[in-house]
Amino acid sequence: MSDSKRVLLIEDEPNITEAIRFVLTREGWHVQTHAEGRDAVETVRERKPDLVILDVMLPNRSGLDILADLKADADLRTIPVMMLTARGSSPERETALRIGADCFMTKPFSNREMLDTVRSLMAGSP
Amino acid sequence: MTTFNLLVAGCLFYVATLFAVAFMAERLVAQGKARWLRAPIVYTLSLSIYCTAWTFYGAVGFAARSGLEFVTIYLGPSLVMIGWWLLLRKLVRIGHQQRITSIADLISARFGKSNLLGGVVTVLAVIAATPYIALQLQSVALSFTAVSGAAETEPDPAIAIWVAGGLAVFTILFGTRRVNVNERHEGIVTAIAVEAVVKLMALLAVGIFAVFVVAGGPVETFRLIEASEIAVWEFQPGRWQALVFLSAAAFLCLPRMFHVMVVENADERHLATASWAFPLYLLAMSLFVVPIAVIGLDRLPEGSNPDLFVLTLPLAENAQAIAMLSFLGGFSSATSMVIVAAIALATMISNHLVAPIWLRSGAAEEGDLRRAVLTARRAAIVGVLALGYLYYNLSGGGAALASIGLVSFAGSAQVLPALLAGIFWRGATRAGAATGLCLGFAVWAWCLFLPSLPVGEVIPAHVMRNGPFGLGWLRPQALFGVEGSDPLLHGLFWSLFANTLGVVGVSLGTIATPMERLQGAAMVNVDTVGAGPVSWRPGQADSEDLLVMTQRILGHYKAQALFRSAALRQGKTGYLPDADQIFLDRLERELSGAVGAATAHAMLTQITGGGAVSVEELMRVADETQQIMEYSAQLETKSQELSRTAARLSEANEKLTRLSVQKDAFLSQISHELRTPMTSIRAFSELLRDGGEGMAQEDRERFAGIIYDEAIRLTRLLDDLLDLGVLESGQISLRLDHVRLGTLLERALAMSDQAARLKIYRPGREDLMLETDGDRLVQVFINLITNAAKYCDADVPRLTISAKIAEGMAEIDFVDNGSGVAAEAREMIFEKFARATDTRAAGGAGLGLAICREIMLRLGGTIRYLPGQGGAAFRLTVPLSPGWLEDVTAAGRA
Amino acid sequence: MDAARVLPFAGLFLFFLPGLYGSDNPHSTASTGLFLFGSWAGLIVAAAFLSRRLARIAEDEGSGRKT
Repeated sequence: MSDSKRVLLIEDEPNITEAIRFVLTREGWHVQTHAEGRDAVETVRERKPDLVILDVMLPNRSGLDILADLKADADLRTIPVMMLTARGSSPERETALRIGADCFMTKPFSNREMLDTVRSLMAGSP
Repeated sequence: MTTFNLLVAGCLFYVATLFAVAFMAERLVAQGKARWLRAPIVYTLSLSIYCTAWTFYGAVGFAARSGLEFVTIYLGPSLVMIGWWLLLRKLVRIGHQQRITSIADLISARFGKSNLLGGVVTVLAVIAATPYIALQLQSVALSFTAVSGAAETEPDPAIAIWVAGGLAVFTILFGTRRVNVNERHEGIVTAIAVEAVVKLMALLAVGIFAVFVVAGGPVETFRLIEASEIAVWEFQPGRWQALVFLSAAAFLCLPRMFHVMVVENADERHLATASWAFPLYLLAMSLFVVPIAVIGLDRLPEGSNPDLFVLTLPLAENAQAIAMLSFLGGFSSATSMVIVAAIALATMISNHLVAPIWLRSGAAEEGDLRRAVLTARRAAIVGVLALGYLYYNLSGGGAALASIGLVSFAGSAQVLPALLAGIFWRGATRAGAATGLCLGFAVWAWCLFLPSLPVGEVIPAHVMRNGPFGLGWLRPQALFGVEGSDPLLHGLFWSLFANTLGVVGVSLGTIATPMERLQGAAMVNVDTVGAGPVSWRPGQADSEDLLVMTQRILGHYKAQALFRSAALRQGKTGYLPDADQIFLDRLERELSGAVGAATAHAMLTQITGGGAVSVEELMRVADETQQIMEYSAQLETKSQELSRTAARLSEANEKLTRLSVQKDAFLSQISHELRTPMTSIRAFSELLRDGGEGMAQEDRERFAGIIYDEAIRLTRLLDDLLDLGVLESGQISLRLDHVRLGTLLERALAMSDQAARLKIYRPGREDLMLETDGDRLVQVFINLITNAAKYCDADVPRLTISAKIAEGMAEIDFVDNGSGVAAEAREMIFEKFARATDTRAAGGAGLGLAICREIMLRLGGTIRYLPGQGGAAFRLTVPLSPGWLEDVTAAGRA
Repeated sequence: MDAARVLPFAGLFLFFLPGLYGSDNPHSTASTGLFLFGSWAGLIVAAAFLSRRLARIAEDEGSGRKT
């Protein structure tokens, strides 16, 4: 694991953003946020984070569309993506995984659970 | 023989080019890119098949023999075109409306979809066209021989056979690829247009060459004409007028002319252009005829065939290129005529001779009629060309053929009386038309056609001289002892006289069948009556049988598309529409586009079993026009009604579909709405639990605050859901009371507390006394006010609340100055979880308006979205307090 | 519209005119030819002029009644 642990959190609920930011920052991550479906892909391209946490239901553009764009882009494809959803229907999960999400978490989740997932994602990637 | 090979190569190249043109045109049409192919100019040029090889070469010969008389052949058609408004427009309109496929089809359709008449006209047309086709073959063979150098020897019959075969192949390839609705052939029409340009160019080139190079200028030419042996010519007024009339009649009645003019016409407006452009074309074609004739007579050796001057003049002057062009011009004149004539005749033969027999034979029960029609057409094309060749061989290819052109014209003209009577006179009957046609045909055959064959071949010489069985008054060229007149004039007069007499006399003496009367009315009044003929009684046909039959004619794909669209129009799904009047009429029209009116009618009759017209119906059609107009009016209202119902149904269906999608999304939505606050609560409470003492005090307070807020949000959501549940199940208990509107509004405004965000105007009557549950109504008010505060996107948000009395109810409008609700969302906003936009910023769960609607329903009022108010606008209606209303009205009266 | 109806009859009259002074037979090809072609060209110009207006009328009618 390198010391460049930067995560981009794309989530529109301010309170959830706040919670995740707090938990990850405490673990030594550098957390950047984006609260919109619009321009999400551009933001990823700009920031080049080590990990993207992406909510499915975003204003103006679905997280699944954003995921598809990310996985279609040669430069961004390698960035691991963790999807969040509050809907918890299994078709949505399957779609996300098929498009190429690296993992999928259903809200609400425990902080520990999330941290473990993030760690295992980072361990799996170079 | 290099020239011979060169000629063959030239012809082959030319034909290959035509192939390419026709092929490209069909491709373009198939791709839908062929707008220009349907341009008026293409239509005009396609009419030029009137100018055949006979006119291309023969006009000069005609001029060399009889001076200006040749021009009559062009004057007749010019007059017809110039007078298009009178006659052609009507023909084309009828052609479009009834999907006429040929002149035989028109006559047959007009006179009650009679197979007999269609057959008669077909036979007549084939007989009349055969010599003409022979003429084309002859001229190609002659010109071939002339150009290849062996000038004065007899032409080689092998050339004619090659030409006939080649033309048959081309025609079959592009003319019978499919059974076409409307029988339009863009490929062939385009090729014909190209040929029209070629022959005009060729004749102009020869003419310009002759006038400017050979003779030395127009003035010289004029002088030459004055000095030539045709400087003066015997003007025969009778023959002149007869020829103008004959060419005009032939122009209308020749199957090939009818085909390009009416059947291939894509747009009535093209006639307007052709009305002047085609006479101009004819003028250009005939401009140089006299000069060429005169210069030819002057320059070429005595005894040269004037019919070939167009070719031999440039040859004699050693202008090989022009000679070649001229040859191609003649070749293209011949080919275009033969191709179109063959298609037109083949269509008639297959639709009016083969199909009826085929139907009667019972093969219709299972066979593939489409294939049968196509095969019949191909065979007919080969047959027509073979007949032409046979005639050419029989007549020996000699000079006898030269005069046959006009005889052939006269034969075609026999259709004219029936045609004109049919489209202008409702009283014309089938019996009349048949009698006239047969009489005219017989007289024509006896007086003109048979004598045109070499003497002794068909009619023995003594019969010509003394009449059959010694009956002198039956002599072919001197009927009833009228002797000494021009044989053509004589034959034309007697045949048309007998013909017209037959049509008029027998029509007056017979009674038309109802079908004839309907068709007659539909055609004569084509300008005023929109709908086609009415002939089907609904409910007798089984749609499935109809589909099976239609598939056999139009092919599976087209037939299913047709039935499907008809079913949709009736508001049904699937492929089987009700066999109602409208559908049967439409089906018959489509079918007649493929197999002709009579056959189509016969086939439908077989299936519907309702062809015979009963006495009551006879009564019903006593006044056809009025009936038809009435009926079409009825149909119109009916179809409007139907389409209105269909629109309502599909609207409801759409809404249901959307609702069901929403129902599916409902659980998922609730899940989402519940989980989102839960996520924050769980994360922060976990942090508080685990973080314990290590956490800054302010963080802890903030986190606790968030947990509190989210818990409130959860509670509100649950309240709303519960509320809605209670409202929807109707278990709500209302506390009805009499309250003043103003009081309720004050309460709502105080509770919603939006004064800072929203400017509120209240110009309406607030003294209204309502009979309602005050708390519930206030809940609705709060909802509307907070909605306006949330969604109004104006810079200075403003909400106007105005009330008035309308139809015994209080009408309260909430109108803001934002951009309103998008039209497509208006239907949905009162449904659960239907936020106008996605944004979470709105805060609520999307249940507010759904609750409002339920409350208003329980309160005996309504809530509706009010479009066209500038911003989002909602109108509430609430019952007024009855006592108060009476007091107010009483006070108002007092 | 009425002009359109009259035009072919005018043409008929013009084209039959050589027959009306039929007494001075035989006719001169050159001069009769010039007359015929001249009147022919005149008719074409008149028809071209009329056709534009007629086409517009036809279009109005056409849009009025749907077939």
